[in-house]
Amino acid sequence: MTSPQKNKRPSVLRELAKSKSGLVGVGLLILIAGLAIYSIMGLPSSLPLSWNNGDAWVLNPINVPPVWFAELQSNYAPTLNINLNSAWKLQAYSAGTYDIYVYSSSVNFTWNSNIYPQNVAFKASFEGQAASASITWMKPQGGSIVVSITQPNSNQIYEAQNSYFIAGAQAYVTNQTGKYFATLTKPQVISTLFGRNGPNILNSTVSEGKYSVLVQIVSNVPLKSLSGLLVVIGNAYGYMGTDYQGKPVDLGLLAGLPNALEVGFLVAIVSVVVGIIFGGLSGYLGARKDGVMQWVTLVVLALPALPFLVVMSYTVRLNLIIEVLLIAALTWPFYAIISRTVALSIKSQTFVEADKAMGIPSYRVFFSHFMPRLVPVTVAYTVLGIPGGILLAETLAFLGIAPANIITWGRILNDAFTNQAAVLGFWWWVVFPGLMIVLSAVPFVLIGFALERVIAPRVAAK
Amino acid sequence: MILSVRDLRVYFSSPRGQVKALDGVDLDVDRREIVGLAGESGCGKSTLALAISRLIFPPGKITGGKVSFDGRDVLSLSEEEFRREYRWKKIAMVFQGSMNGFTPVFTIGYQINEVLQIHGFEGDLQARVSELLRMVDLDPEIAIRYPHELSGGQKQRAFIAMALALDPPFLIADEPTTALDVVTQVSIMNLLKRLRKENGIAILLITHDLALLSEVVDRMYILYAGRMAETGTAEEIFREPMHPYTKGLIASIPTLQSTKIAGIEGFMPDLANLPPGCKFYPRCPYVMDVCKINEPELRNVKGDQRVACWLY
Amino acid sequence: MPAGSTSGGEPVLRFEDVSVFFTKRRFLGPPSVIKAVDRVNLEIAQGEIVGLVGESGSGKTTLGRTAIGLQRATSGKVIFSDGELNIDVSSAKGRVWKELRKYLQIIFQDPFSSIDPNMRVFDALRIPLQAQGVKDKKEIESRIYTVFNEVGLPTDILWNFVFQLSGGQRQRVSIARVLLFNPSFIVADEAVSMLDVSLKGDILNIIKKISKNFGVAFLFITHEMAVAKVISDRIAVMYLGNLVEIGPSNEVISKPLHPYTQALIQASPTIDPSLRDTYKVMKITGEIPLSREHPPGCKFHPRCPYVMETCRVNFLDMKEVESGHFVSCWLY
Repeated sequence: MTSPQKNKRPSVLRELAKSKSGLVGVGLLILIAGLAIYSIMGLPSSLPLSWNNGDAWVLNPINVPPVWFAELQSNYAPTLNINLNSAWKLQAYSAGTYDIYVYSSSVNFTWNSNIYPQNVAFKASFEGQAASASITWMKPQGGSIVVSITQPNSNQIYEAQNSYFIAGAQAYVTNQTGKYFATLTKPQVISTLFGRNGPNILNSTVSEGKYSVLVQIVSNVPLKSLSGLLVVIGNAYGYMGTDYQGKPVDLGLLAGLPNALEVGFLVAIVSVVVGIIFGGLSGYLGARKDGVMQWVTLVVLALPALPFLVVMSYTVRLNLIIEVLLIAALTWPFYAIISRTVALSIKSQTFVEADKAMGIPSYRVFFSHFMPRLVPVTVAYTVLGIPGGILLAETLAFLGIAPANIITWGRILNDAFTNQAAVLGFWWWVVFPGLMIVLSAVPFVLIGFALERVIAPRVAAK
Repeated sequence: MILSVRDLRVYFSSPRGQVKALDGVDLDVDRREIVGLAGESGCGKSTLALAISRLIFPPGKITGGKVSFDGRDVLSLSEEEFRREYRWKKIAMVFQGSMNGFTPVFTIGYQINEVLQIHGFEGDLQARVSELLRMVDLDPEIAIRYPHELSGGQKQRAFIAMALALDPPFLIADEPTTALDVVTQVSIMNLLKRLRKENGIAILLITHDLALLSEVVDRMYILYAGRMAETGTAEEIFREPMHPYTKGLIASIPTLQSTKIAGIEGFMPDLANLPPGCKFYPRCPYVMDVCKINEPELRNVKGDQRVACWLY
Repeated sequence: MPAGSTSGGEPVLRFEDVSVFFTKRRFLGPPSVIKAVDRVNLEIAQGEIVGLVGESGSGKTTLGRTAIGLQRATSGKVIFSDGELNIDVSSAKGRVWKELRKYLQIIFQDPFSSIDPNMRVFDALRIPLQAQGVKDKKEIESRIYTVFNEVGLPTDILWNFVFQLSGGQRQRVSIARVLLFNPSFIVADEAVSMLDVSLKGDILNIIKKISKNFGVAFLFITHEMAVAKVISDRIAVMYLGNLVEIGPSNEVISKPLHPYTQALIQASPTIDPSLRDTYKVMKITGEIPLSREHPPGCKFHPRCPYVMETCRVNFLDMKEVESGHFVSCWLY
């Protein structure tokens, strides 16, 4: 280096752009950010609250694989959402002192699969009060089942497990088999509705063909804004299937994404900044102060993070800030060690001694020589620390430790294990959340390593 | 000629562009002579040493030229052949940091022994180690010592002993004494002279210290920005330097007789951004128009003295 | 006060029996003591350039750092005088120490690490100026421009980053930096050792010019006798922490008294192709000892061709053999 270099200080961004892995990482990051934004803006804010409420998901199949998987196996019975809105006909008449309004709607659907649907659900919404409702279910081969509901509520979901359905099915079964059943299970009700007529109706194959459903709602006052929905629930759902309550896995992962990113980023930035400053000061101060600070660093480093966090979280009420602080409090030493090494190598440079010889105060030396060299390290390690933060937070969530009322991937996995998803073969419930945790790390790792490669030679102060 | 370098080119690819570390260099070393290669930092002299020993790795590459050893082109050999026949057997190297090339966990004797064994030396190993140490003026009992017990000078000498283990006829010494004190430097130089005279070893001595070269070498080459500027016998060059760079360089050497010292204006050009024509022209007090356009070739001017300069 | 009685001028820096020992506590056994500087007496006059010659382990670097207060002397005093001021540099602390920065400065050996390469040149000069308390922007600019002119650098490189500068340019910036303090005394610690031959001359000429024009005294530390001769008024030679000889440059070179000085001079390469067939025979033997334990008596005695009994036992203070020419040797 005897002649001066004419080029300007090459920008970090430009060098990052040259790295292939860095570009891929940035691309993936943009993708994830886009999904997160969609998640925040596009998903209803009531979602976390309705997440654990089983009733909200009744209209979805339970424990079913993704649609594409069922199709691959040629085993797909789609969910039919049959809208009753446009078909309401009103018959109104008077019976003396009160009026009777009968709203009827008739719909057809075809069931072509030889697989039984998982469930059938009916929901009507209206303003006003209804006296009764009846559903007349006409099977392709003939025969019909009548379900009578007294005083139906608006927006209440009535499905195969419901007593009214069971009553209607019971009557039909007795008619077909000659036997009386005290009660019927959900599959038995479904068999009644969809099975081949005959004495073996409860064990028969599916009756494929055109089904006709007539819904009648009777009330004493005119009902306003009347709409109805009949759902025949199939055996697959969505891109990633559903869980034990019918909650779509992909929805859960999407909802959990901003939370994961948020906690991962906060954990990373707090622990990195604290660690780097601590380590940087430690290396800069040297001698006894350094010795003490190093001791502290090593002690905290030696603490087993997870058990400690579990214990700590049971003694405090957890919210996002506290969780971040707790995790950061146990992960900063890793960065302190790195930055101390950097600080020590800077300290050994002659320009530090030269500054001292010129009477420049310590804090000035720290800011003009150490900080500029620690900042790039900080940025690189923050990026690299995000996946760790995500993993740690989700692990805690898996163990049941997470701020209340948010949807986390860890919690989804927890539910899966509690409900023995792996054993029962509901692989989508386990694989997709797991994959998500792993894949969310990928862009940060790629960018972080690309950054590190750019930054590392500069730290050598030459 | 034991070593003959012709038109050697070594280029490095760097983010700043192609760095022409050596751009068409000729050099000869004959048996029983010490040849000096002088130049300042960045001129390419270490690159030349590495190229001859085939130690140039990417991003550097020998892009042209021939290196002939005893008439045979060594650049065309495979790495395995070169290692088997030439490296350490015919061409030995001592570099500036060589004294630190000993691993601290084994004794000196053990390490020299190891070199002998690896290269298939047949004969009494211990006797040979003692013989080598005596050759470099070291007490053979040093063989049982560890490197940290030795001084810098002793370590460098021990390394030279190791370099001579297989009786190479040719030794490259790149700044062998720069990190040592002056008095030790004298003894190492005496050693090199003795190796030439009594053992007939040809030596290529590379250093930036021109005064040192003047006291030791038979012939010398002056390298500037990857090209030879001047060459001749030591007497010729110091008595009547021809190239303006050589003149400037010699005038800059502080000696015990000087009362003041000069310098050369400017600095060595960036090897990735060389000016056209003669590479020295921006600093030359005698610059002419032709110098800015055409690059001069090494031309024989007087006796053995050759200069690459438009003045001649 | 014996040695190095100055070439007539008022002393600006005086070493009075200065020793600098480094003790290292060991886990087992007694602590090891490294005597970097051992009982040095030296006086440097205003405006004079003293060349301090020595090799590795001689203590010259430690002496240089002790001179300006970067290192505390274990014993003895380092007195800085300037008109009314008379301060013991070695015991100065806090404010006093900081005040002394205006008088005592140092130029380091490695231009690539003595200035932070990632800064702009202007900032590298502005920050020390501000540390002195200079706040006015215009004053800062004008002072920086002035010192830049002094060292012969074009002012347009002030806005470059330091890493864009060559070694020679950076060393000039180092010099400009210390000039901002208007010091009375500057230590140049191997200031040209890392520069190419063709650049050494420029820096040496700048140093000479500064000394002459501003009356700044220099302690020029080097391992090259020839460089010392070119730049210094007087030459002092150190060996293993002791000052062994001091005198006017020409005297020391033409009539070296101490056997070590004689060896250094004989070993210094000169331009002499006729020597190539001869072996330089050194009168002294051995090498600078590795061990931290220095020999008793005269530290040079194990290598000295003229060693006598008393040399092995007794240490000798400097003795004036000729006017202004002192040596620490039993031969005289």
